[in-house]
Amino acid sequence: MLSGIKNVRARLTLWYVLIFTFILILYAGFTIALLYLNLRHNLDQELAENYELLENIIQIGANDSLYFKAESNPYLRENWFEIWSPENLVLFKSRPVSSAILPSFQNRLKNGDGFRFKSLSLPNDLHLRIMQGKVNIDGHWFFVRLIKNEASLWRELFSFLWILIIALPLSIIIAGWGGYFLSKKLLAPVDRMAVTARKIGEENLHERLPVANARDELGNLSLTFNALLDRLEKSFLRLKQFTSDAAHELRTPLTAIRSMGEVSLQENKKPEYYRNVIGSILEENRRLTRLIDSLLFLSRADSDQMKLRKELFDFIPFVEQTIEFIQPLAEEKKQVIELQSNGDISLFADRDLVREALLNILDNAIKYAPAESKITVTLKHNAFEAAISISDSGNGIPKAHLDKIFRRFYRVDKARSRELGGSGLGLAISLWVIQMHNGTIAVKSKQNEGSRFTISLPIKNDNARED
Amino acid sequence: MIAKEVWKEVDRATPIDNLIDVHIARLRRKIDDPFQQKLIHTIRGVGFILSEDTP
Repeated sequence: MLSGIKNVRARLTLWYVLIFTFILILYAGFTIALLYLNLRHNLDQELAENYELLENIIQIGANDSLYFKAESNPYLRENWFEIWSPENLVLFKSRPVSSAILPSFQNRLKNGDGFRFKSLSLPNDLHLRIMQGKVNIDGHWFFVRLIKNEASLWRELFSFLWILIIALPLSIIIAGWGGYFLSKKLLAPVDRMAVTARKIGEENLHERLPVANARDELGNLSLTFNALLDRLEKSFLRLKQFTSDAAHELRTPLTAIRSMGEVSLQENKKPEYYRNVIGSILEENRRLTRLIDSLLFLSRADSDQMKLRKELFDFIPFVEQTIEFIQPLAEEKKQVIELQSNGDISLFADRDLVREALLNILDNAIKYAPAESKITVTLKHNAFEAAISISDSGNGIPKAHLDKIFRRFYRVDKARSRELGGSGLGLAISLWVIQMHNGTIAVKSKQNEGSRFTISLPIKNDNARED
Repeated sequence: MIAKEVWKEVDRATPIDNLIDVHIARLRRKIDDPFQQKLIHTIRGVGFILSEDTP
């Protein structure tokens, strides 16, 4: 029933009212029962007191006849009692209250039983409280029964019940009202969050949900949502940046191709000239193809469609071959690449991809280190990981750029990088490759002293060669 | 092309082009520099050709 109501506030209020009503009814029932017992106890006590008075005014005459003392008239008028003989004969009946006829004495009381109390309802809506027992007065046995009308007791009980019956709906209404406002107050932050969240879109992803109290549950929810928004905004901005960068990178060669074509169409030229132009166009085309290949690689990487082809190979020969491959570039700048290591180890990795990652970083080092300098490649390994560091003595990377160089198309010096033939994707690809191997790339750089790139690849026990 | 055939390299942002240029430059230094007739010719946009005639 309750789950049918969509509104949390109404549901909360209804629950509140239901529980409150239940507690109230329980409380009322308990109170009435207690009150009844209390009133009855008072009545019983009155009966007992009345008997004590009765005992004082009874006198036994000759022939076991009963007398009442002279001053006992008011008592006889006000109290209702019967005295029976042990033979079950009525000796005396006072009738101050009503003409009701009580059932004859149930003569099953034994000696010394004392008094018993019982309630009796007569057909004409008469409720009586009766105290009866077998008593010994001056050596004679009598059955005595004292009666009191319970009317006052019930009257009191009912008036109390009426108060409750009138007060119950009233307090339920007040409770419902209170519950409604309470839940409204409690849920107000949720409403505010919803209103803000509804407004957050692509255009204003920087907006955040209000945090009323950071320590309560709703505040925590807000904070969690805000953290989610932070992450979303970051990746959204990165994606946006990437798209615009990619478009820009693609447009440059396209513009070049177009303008070359347009210029060469303007007048008749020698075949030599056209050859040259077509060659340039093919060159630009090659640049484009390579760029798109890189983008495809990264997009496949992003969508987890890349599978690593892992194999087991020795670390040092692998690095030596890679250095040897790129050595001519260093030699052109009269740079020396020096390799240091603390012993060989087997790696289990995608050889081609790791090679590509390493080549990109080595290429960067060669590009940005000055001529005739030394590039140091250091291999180190311990039980958990193999690390390869590439240190150059270039200008270093300014601090502001350090954490961004692995971003796609990010260039510290745009003009210079393009001149050197970079696409801006090399380090991004390297980072992806190493992360796919659960490794890390760290950069340390000091302005005018050089940079150090450190690639760490984990060595697992099951990766170790079994020989 | 050379990169793919010789080194089985991927066509990506690797420094292959520069490397090929360096290697060709070295070959030229050995084969062409000492002689009047050049044998290694550049065809722009395509690559290099070993030929007696100028293409």
